[in-house]
Amino acid sequence: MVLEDTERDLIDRCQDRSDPDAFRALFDLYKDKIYSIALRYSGDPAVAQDITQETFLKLFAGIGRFRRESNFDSWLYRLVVNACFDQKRKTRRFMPLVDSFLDFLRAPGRSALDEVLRAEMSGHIRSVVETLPPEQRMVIVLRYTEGLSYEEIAAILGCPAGTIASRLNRVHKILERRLVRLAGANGGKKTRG
Amino acid sequence: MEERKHVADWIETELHRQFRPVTAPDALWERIHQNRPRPVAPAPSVWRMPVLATLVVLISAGLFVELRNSRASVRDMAQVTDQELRLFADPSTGQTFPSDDPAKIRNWIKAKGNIDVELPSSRSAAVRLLGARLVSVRGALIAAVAYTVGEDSATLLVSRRTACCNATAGSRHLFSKVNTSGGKSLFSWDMKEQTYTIAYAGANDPQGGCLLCHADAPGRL
Repeated sequence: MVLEDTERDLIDRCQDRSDPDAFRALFDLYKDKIYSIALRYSGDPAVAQDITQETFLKLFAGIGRFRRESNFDSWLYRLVVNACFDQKRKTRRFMPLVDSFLDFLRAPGRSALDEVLRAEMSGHIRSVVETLPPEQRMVIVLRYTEGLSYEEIAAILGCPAGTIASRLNRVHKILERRLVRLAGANGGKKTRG
Repeated sequence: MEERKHVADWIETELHRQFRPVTAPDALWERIHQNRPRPVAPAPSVWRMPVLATLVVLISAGLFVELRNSRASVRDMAQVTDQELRLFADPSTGQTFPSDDPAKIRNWIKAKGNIDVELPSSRSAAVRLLGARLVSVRGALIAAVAYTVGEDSATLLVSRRTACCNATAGSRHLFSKVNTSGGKSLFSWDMKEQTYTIAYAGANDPQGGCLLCHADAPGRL
C-alpha cells in the first residue's frame, strides 16, 4: 500500500507540476525492472541501455496522457515491451558468456567438469531461446525475469492467457527435446564421477 | 519418466537463473536526463496570428462597450431598477447614522456622500425619522433616509444627477415615475440636480410617504 501511495504521488507530481525530483524518483523506482527486461530480452547491455533510455523518454513524454484509473505497471510494461520489439539491432547473445561461466565457477560444491557441462547446457538454453520469435521470447522474459502470471503477461501482450500458457509450454518442450540427451549425459558423468 | 522430470525441473531452474532481474547501471539517469526533451511552449503558427489578433480586438471592443455601459448605468439613481430601490428601502437593514434630527442627518449625508438632503424641521406628527445610510449601486452613491409614517416604514432615496441630464431647476417637482408593487409604492422625481425616490409601505395611503416634507401630501398629488 505504501508503495502504491508513493507511486501514485509521484505520478501526480509528474503530471501536475512536471516536478524534476518526481521524475528522478520514478526512474529510481522502475529502472531495475525496465533494464532487466531489456537486458534479458536483448542479451546485450548496450542494447538494453538503449531500450531503457527509450522507454523512460517515452514515459516522461507521455505521462501526462496516462489516465490515473489505469494500471501504471501494465502501462509501463507495454512501453518497454514495445521498445524491445522496436529495437532493430539483432541480439548476439543473452548473457555475456564469461560472466555466466564465472557465476558457475563461484557456486560451491561443484567440480570444474560439472560446471563446464552445466555451462554447455546453459549455452544450449540460451541458443534455443535466441531462436524464438520476439513474442515467445518476451513471454519467457516476463515470466522468469518479472515473475508475472499468465493473466498479467496476456494483458501486456494483448492476447488470451491460454496463448501465453501454450507458448511457455512449447518453449519448455523444445528445450526438453534439445537438452534431454545432454542432460542424461551430464547425469551419467556425475554418477560415474 | 523420472529423467524427463529431472530435465524439466532443471530447465525451469535454469530459466529462473538465467533470466533473473539485474541492477541497472548508475550512469543511466544521466544519459536519460541529457536526452530528455525540455518542454517548449508551441509557437503559434502563422495562420493563427490573424485569428488571435481578431479575437483580441473583439474582446477589447466587448470590454470597452461593457465598461461604457456600466459607467452609463451608474450616472444617477434614475437608472437603478425598482427592485434595487425596494431593496435599499428595506427597513430591516438598519441605519449607519441613527438619528431623528433632520439637521444632523443632512450634515452627515453631506459630509459622507456630498449629497444635500434638505429635510424640513417641522413635519407631520405621524412622521418619525430613524436615521440615514449611504449605499453604492454600481458606483452610484445613494443616500437613504429612513422614517416611519404611523406604523408604516418609508425611505427617501437621494442621489446626485449628472450634468448631461435635463435637471429641473426649480424647487417644484414632477413625478417621473410612480410604481406600486410588492406592497411598496415608489415615487421618483428630479429636483435641484438630484434624483429623489420615496419608497413607502403604507397600503391604505400610498402617498403617506410624502408627509416627510409635506404635511398635506395627499392633496398635492
